[in-house]
Amino acid sequence: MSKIKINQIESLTTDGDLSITPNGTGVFEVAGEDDNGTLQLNTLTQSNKVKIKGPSTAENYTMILPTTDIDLSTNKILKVDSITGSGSTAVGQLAYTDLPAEDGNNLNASNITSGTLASARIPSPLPATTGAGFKLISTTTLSSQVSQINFTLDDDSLYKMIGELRFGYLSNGSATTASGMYLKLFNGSGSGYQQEVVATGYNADFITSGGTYAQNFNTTSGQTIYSYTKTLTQAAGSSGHFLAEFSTGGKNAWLFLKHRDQATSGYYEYNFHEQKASINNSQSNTKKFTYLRLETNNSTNYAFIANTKLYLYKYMEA
Amino acid sequence: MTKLNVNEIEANGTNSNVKVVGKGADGGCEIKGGTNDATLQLNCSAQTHGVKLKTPPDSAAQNYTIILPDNQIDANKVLKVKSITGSGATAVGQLEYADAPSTTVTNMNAANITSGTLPTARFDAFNASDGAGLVLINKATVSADNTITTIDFDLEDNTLYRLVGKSITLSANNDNLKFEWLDSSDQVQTNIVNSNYRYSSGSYSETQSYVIPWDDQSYMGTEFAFVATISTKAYFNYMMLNHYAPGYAYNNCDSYSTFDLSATGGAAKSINKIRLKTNNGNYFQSETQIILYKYNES
Repeated sequence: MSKIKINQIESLTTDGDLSITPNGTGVFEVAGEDDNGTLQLNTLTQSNKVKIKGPSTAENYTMILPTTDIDLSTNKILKVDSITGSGSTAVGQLAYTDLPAEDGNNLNASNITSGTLASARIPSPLPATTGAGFKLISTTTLSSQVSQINFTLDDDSLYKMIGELRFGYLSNGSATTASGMYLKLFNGSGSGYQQEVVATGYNADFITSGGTYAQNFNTTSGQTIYSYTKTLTQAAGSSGHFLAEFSTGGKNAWLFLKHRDQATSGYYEYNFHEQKASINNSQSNTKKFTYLRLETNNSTNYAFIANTKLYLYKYMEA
Repeated sequence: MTKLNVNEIEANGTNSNVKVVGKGADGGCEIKGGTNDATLQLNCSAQTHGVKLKTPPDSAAQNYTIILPDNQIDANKVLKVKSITGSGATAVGQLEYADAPSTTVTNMNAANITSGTLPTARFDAFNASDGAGLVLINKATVSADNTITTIDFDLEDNTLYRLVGKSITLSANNDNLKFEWLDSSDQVQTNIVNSNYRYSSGSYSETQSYVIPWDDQSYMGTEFAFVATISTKAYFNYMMLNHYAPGYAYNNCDSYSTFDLSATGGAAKSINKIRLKTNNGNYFQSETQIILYKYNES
């Protein structure tokens, strides 16, 4: 073995490389003496020096730099692509590779630690089979008096409406005890037609006598469902509330209604109304409605006034 | 300082290395920058290809040391800086062959789900306490005339239900809807007290093995509707039924049914299934819809 002791080797010619040529299977070896073998690469000013150093552990592997072009490898990482041999003869072939894709499997919901899922990402309606069987469709709160309140409805659907009624004068919105509520059913709004209705029920016996007993009643013709309480004929409170459940159609629409007006002196204990209404079987039109109108019994003079509230819910079927 | 100016250094023995030996703890093999930053080129045996390792530019002002991995090389590992000692110009990074970084998605921001809609099949049942108080259990829709005479719904014990019938059409008139309560062996339960309130003929009660809302057939056609609340809670089994025949006045029947526990000696009975049929065995015609909901209690 020949050996020279020297501090520096410099290339002989301008822009000339300094080649180191091992013989045969020999390698260019940086030996360690008091420290592990270190290869230092200086910047052109020699002021900054980055080093690659052998480990201090008993490792003898060989790394082969990647066999592919680096120009397509922005954002890639260096990975040991394959191994031949083992132990001191192990040779690892490096490769430029992508960072592993995020694992979309087995996601842990607890890892959603911030933000709110946008409503647009949630199906609407939610499946009724998960428990979302009862959907709020709308809340209507009047800020001023109107004589009619209209609702557009889906065909062949089940609804529940809860009403908190305030009655007053259409002219100025002040309260009155004289008004009451009618319901009217239309098949379609605008060009739709108003349905003929029938009804049967049970209410305070004020219709004919103004007496103090309750009675059965029937409505056999006409286009109005009369929500009979004492407010329609005698003084009662200027407010009331009702519960209505209705099916808008399919073959036959129907509406179940319970209505109670607020108390007033003298007759408050009879101031209620319950009925079942539907579209008259004798009429020839389709027996469904997709438009519901609440109207005061005298729409020229009386109105639903401010703070009247109507909640419309739908029973979901899918 | 001694210095050798040459173009090439070649090993002088067969299959022998060219060895560079630094002196002492700080001595190493140093490649100085010339016009460019220092570069180590590793050629293929044919000398036709050369891959280079190069120091970062002077402007980066880096002086770190990388120590090659101190563990055994292995396939599919990546090079990772395992540890650092020192800092700045004395920083030494120990590399290792390591597994690729974890790809488990953590600390997700729900607002970052910015497209698409969660498929409905991906929703589990919600809790009533979260607002999901009414769950659709089943909807039976008759699709063809003259094929269906009974419609069954299995019921859980100790539960409240809402059963709704709409667009019910029978194959013939002068008939009534009939509800049977079945036990866990599919046997029709007896001793059901059914109290009716109706427009025609006032109130009426009977104890039977069924519940018929006895509306007045004189004012009914073939179409029906009802809304029922059903409890399967032991000792508190009941069905409250608002029944109606749309299209006709003079029909209005509310039915209140429960077991006659005096007839059972006080023993509780169960409702494990409810069966809807007609009193005269007529068919439920197409478009008839019976919908069962459950009131969630938790």
